[in-house]
Amino acid sequence: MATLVIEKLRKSFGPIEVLHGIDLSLQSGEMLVIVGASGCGKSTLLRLVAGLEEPTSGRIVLDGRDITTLDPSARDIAMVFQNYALYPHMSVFDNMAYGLRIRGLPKPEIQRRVHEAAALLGLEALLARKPRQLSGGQRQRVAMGRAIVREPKLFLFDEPLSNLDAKLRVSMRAEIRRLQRRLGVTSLYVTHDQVEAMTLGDRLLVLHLGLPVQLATPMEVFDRPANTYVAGFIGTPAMNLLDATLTAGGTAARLEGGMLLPFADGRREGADGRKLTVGIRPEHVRLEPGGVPLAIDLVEPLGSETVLLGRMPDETMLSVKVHGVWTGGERTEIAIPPASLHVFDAQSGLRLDPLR
Amino acid sequence: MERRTIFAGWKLPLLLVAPQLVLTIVFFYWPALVGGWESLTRTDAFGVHVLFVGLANFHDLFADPRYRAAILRTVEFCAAVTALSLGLGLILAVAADRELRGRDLYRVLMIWPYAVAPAVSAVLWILLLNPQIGFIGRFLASHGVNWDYALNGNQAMLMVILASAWKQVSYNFIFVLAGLQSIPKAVIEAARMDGARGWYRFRTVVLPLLSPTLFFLIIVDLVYAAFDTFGTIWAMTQGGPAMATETLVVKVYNDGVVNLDLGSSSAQSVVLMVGVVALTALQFRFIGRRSGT
Amino acid sequence: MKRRTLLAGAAAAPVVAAPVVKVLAAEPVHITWWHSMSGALGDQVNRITKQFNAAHKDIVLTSVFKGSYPDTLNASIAAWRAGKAPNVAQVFDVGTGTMLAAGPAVKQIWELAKETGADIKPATYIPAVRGYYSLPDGRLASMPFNSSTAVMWYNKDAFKMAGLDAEKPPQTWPEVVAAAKVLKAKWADPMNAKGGPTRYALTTSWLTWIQFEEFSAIHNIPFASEDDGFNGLGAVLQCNSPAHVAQLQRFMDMEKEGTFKYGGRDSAPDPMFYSGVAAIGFGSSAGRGDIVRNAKFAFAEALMPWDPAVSKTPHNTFIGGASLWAMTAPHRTEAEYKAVAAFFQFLALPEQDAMWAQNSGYVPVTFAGDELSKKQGYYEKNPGTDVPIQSLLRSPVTPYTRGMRLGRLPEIRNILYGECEEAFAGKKTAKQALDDTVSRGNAVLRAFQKSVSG
Repeated sequence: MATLVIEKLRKSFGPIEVLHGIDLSLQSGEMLVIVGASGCGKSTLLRLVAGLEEPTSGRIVLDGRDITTLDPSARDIAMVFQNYALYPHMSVFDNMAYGLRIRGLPKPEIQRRVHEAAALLGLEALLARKPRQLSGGQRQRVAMGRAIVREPKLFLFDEPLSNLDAKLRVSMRAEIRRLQRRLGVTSLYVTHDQVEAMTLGDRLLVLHLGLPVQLATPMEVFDRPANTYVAGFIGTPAMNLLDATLTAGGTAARLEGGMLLPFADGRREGADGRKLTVGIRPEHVRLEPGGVPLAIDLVEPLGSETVLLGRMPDETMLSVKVHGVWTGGERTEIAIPPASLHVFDAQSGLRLDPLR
Repeated sequence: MERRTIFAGWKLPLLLVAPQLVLTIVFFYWPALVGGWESLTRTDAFGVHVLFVGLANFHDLFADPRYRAAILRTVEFCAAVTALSLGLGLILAVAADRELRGRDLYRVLMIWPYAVAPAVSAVLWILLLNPQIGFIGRFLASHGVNWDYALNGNQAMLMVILASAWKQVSYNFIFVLAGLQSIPKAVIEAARMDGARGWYRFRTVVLPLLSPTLFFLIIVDLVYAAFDTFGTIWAMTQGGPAMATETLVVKVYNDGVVNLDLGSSSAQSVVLMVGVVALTALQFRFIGRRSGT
Repeated sequence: MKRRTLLAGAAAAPVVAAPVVKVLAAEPVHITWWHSMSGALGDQVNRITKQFNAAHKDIVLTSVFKGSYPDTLNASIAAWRAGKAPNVAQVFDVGTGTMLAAGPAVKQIWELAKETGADIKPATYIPAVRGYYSLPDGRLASMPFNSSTAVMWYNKDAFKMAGLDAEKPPQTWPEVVAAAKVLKAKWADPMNAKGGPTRYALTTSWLTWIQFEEFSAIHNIPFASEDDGFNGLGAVLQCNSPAHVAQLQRFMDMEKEGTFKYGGRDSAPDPMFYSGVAAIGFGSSAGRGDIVRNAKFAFAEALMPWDPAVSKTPHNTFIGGASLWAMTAPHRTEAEYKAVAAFFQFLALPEQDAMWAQNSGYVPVTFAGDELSKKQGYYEKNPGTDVPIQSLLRSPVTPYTRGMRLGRLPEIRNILYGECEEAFAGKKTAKQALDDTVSRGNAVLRAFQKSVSG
């Protein structure tokens, strides 16, 4: 159980800087998920912590010890790789025992740890097999086991589920969560999958183009996205982001089509006419007879829910999520509840909170 | 799914394989058969007198302590050339696999010796090692080493081993490098995370994953050392001094082409052919076993 | 065959001055000549071919370079077995035994002369040359062509520096040994102290040919029984006589005292002499071209030394090199054999023989060619070039100075090389090495005997 502190971490490959200064602090036993689109630098950040890459500047402190320039072997960190990276020529047992043997653990201790981990992961029957004789999910579990037996200070997960099929991914996700909670090992988990991020993380770090955008609990990221990027990235279908201007002395936003949206939570700073982006999640749009007419272009039934893609009278696109099956035809009328509005500055994209 | 192309009739398929078939028969089967027949005869060079002698040539061969010595010598030579060229190829490939400045140039330079004709490489080595005019030879002589490969059999052997291995290093280098690059980077990184360093990581992870490549190369190198080094040895020592560098192929040439003792030379060729077949079978078996599971 | 004879017209005057009879036939006869003459020698072969074709409008001679001597021999053998032998093949001296045993594959010169009516007289050729290629009764088997002999090359500058008389080279083996000691003390050692390549007093190319085969001839002792094999296939080696053992011991002693350096087999040690590393270099007289081209010092060639303890006077050396063999093939016509005979006669013309010798460094093979060179003043202008012919004419030819007539002689030479190398390396005594040579060599001779008698 250890804390991890990352300070002003930068990384350049040649002339290109891919991480522009990351500050991060993990509590003991915390699972932090780093999420972002591919190319945002999340894997690089993980590899810097692992020691597989050297940072250009900044510091990494694990459990009070500066490990910034230490060899990976000296860091006491275990990592689960995207493609498992099992040793193809070793049995499952040897794959798990490899790191322990290097550390010179006594044989009985190695036996004990490997068997414990195997029991935990349901791998007991497979210990003598070679990786090529395992299914994808089994390999994933071996990769987990290899990390677990080490009993490291820190777990690193590099998109560990992305090579699995959808169904397996869901069950493995739950299993990872369960194990991490049970073992209580501080963890960094990298993914591009927002569902994984939401379900696994104690906290999320959203990375965008090498910059940290928001560091908060999953629900806070969902409820109060720090900017339009996060707002659009987290949530399915993506939040509707509409161009608007500040009006009525800062108490409402007017959409381009003329529709007035009063703020439920108070006045925003700035003169009337300030360019805004207002966000409304599709599931928060209400169907309301007599409301704004919406011409429906596309109906996407998801089973228990249906997503409608439509156009408002001013041709602004809007998606709406409704329960059950859509039977309403090609037109409907909607309302946007003021309490569900997210307000962002149009220029910076940053969230605008009400004045107090 | 296996793709199969079905030809109607047999004429086109036969026509398509005919060139290869003809080449194989003319250049492999026919000479092998003639060699096999001649190994059972005693004949003069012109074939005017041909006497069937059964296995007498083979009997004479294996009764000759010099032939047994040549077998042993060839085994030693092959083992040394293989170990040296594969070891060097491995070291150089590992070096080239790293991120290092001028890597591409380094790789090109590494591949050059392979393109040098055996006779040319032999001349280059003689120019280096000749006791009178060679740079290294004179250096050794001036430092108290009695360097004289024209008389000292061990030194001559060392020289042909060096020259033969040098030519094969490139081949090993290319294949080992390809083998190294086909090892997933993540596996190496996983080993690093597991705490494996340097030589231990190389021995426990890289080497086992390289072993199919290495096994393939050992067979290729053995065959190379046993057969393709003829040009190098012939140009450097002609098998001398005494018979210190006379490997089996050199002996086949000496007895067949120089001495025109066709019966014995053919018998030796047959023995060599059996050796190659055995090596090839070993390789097929091993590769078959590996890919079978 | 219908033929019309014409006098050679002025316009078609051949380069040679001898009267040439020209034959006109409807179709020219094509003959081929496979040879191993490369470089400057190859140019000479081309010249000869051109001049022959110019002189014989009814014959088209094509000369083809087939690689080394063994290459040409093997190609000829393979071609004969396939029924496509060349009309003329150049075969090296040591292949003579093989060719003589080739039976129907070749048409020996006496046979060729008899069948075609061509006038080829053995007496035209210098005895030490023709002896090598003759049957015991004097009939010529193959056509002498490029012939050289063993000589002693020496570095005059080194002799002068060592205080030796550069105009009076050592004549006997004791004198050679003594001179070598002086050369080491007063030339090689002081030079070596200054650096550069290590110098030696003496080396030898063709150890087996020169120091054992020619050594036997010079002392008129047999190298093998049956008159060095001339009288039959049952010959056994006799090169382990006390005289031979003493000869090898002499080289071993010189090697030990640092005056002699073994430089490898055949012509491999040649560069040691012409690069100035060895002051005395025994070698082929045909090495003159290389020496002239490379030596940066005054040099000369001398007659081979002899050992007065073995023979009071020195005898003639025999030749090395190669001769031309007429080969047979199915459907070979009389006209072709006649053309081959004409070609051999052409080569024996004094002008051709002298020109070939002067341009190639080989000795003239005919008395007339030698006389012509003398008359042209070639030997005066090129001092030392007559040493080889002197060596060949040093004494009347005896049964032991004709040359070697042993089957698989290359193999026997290699055995002798190997045994000498072991002796020099200190693994065997001189007696042991030569005894082993004899027993191993005899096994080869018996195998050859069996193979050719079916």
